[in-house]
Amino acid sequence: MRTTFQLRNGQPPLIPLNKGGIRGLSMPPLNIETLMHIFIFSILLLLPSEANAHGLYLSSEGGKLYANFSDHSPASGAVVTVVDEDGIVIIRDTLDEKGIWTLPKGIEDDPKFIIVEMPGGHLTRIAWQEVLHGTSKGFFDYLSVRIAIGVMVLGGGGFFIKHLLNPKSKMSMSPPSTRIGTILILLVLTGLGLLDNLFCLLLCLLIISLFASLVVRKVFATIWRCKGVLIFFIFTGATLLWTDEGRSLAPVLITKMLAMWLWGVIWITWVGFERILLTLEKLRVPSVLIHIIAFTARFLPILSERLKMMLAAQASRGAKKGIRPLQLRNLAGGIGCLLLASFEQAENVERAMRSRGFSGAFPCLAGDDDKVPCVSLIFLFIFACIVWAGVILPCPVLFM
Amino acid sequence: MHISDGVLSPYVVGTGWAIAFPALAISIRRLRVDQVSVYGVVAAAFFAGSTIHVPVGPFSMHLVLTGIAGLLLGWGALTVVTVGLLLQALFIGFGGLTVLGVNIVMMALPGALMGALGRQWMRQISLKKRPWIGSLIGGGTILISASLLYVTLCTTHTALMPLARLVFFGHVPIAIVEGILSFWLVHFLQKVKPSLLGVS
Repeated sequence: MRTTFQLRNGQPPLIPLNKGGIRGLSMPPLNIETLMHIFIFSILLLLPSEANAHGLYLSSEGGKLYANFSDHSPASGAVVTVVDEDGIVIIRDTLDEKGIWTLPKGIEDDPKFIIVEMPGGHLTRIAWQEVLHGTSKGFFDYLSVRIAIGVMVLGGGGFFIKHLLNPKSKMSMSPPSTRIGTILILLVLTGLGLLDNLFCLLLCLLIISLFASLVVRKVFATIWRCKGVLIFFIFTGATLLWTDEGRSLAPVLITKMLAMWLWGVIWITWVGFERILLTLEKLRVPSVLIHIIAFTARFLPILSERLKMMLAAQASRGAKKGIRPLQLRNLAGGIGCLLLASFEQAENVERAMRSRGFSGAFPCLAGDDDKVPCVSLIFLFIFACIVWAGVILPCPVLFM
Repeated sequence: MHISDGVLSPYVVGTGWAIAFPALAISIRRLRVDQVSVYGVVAAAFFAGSTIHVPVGPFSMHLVLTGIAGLLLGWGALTVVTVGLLLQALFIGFGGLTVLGVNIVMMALPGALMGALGRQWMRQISLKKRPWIGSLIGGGTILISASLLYVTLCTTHTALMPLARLVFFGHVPIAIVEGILSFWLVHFLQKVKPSLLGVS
């Protein structure tokens, strides 16, 4: 018999689900505190990307090499190095004030590449033949084309976000509580784990945080509640700073940890715990394991409360927490009582369930009549493609 | 002791899953299907128990209790601790989802193996010596887990070695405290309900 964790009317959920998790997108009211959290988080995320925003670009015309930054300012004083196929330096020179370098004539060796380097980590290269014949003006180099694309992106993005934020719209991003949705979410998580390029990771982190702030806003409340995890990230980062290798590894590692943690929080907040169990069951995860997880989640608040009461009772009798033998003996007694009580409660629950006909499988409570969350699946598919493109394709093909 | 997502190399993560999958499958096959409620309630008790913080000087440490779980549940402790690890990763962000396999191998597997050994051992020795076995299992499990954590971090990247050393030595006091605690816990349980320890 198939087991489901669909809820009947009036039955309380194991873990309170967000409204967005059940009825699609439903925005909680924004207050100043939430806005501040979003603002601070966005600033922190965008700060590191500043380093990558100022790119160096090369072009050539009439036997001259032009080097400009992405804001069209000339890269004056940049070091130009001409190398052959084996990487042996043939000529080393600097660009003039206008960022121009005239190609020398009568070179005996066979130059292959021209490498232009600027302080601040700017490094780019161009093929010698390309410089000789001149670079052609690309489609995106025309100002009119750029303006048209900008208007289209802004207009289209605005239209998309407007519909995305409207709960009545057909474009609302309902939770992907389907097999494909779960697989795509796990694919994104796995892909993030395999990513080693800082730029890709920052891009993914930006997409994740934008998605969280637009669609699953409750994520920020969860992050605030689980902020203790950040101590581990800081601790890891601090220990990495001790070695040279660690210092170069730290930005990638911390960004990756943050992105993966954030994506996990989005998953549990967006889809909801019970629906995750339901989809895991559809994915043929053993039902025994699913049932134990469900039981644990249901009994956790009860036993935590009982433990608190036991410790409070001990404290009222003068017991103190510490690592002295007597204190540890008291604590062991408390934990022993908790375990005994839990075993007794477990036996009672088992008897009660057997008397109601339980034989290891739950009856089907409700059919899975949810609509297919097309928009969410499309988003997840595109995001998974972006992440896995970053994993599979070499970095220069994508971003250089 | 939990490792977060993104720290370990894909090879280490893959190795973790390759060991954890068969171990978990064996553990699940040994569970009685009609007793899922028992395992669920006990898993919740261990989860709640592991949130107890003990002040150690200016710091505070929390209990792990995987050795005790192994002593009480034997091989079934693997599933119970796995459920605890999964819920911790999902709800409070401690540990990751992709590295769950490594966390299972590091925390649940030593507890289950040591616990199963300890249960066998307890049947063969006198009443007075049983708490000492409990102490050995409780503290020893933490030391094995800490050693596995050290190896895991060191095999991932040399830059993680300072972190690995710090984490390993940080777990030594936890192992001592848990050893003492396990001694008194076994002492208590064999007086009140010895059947839980698999002895009469």
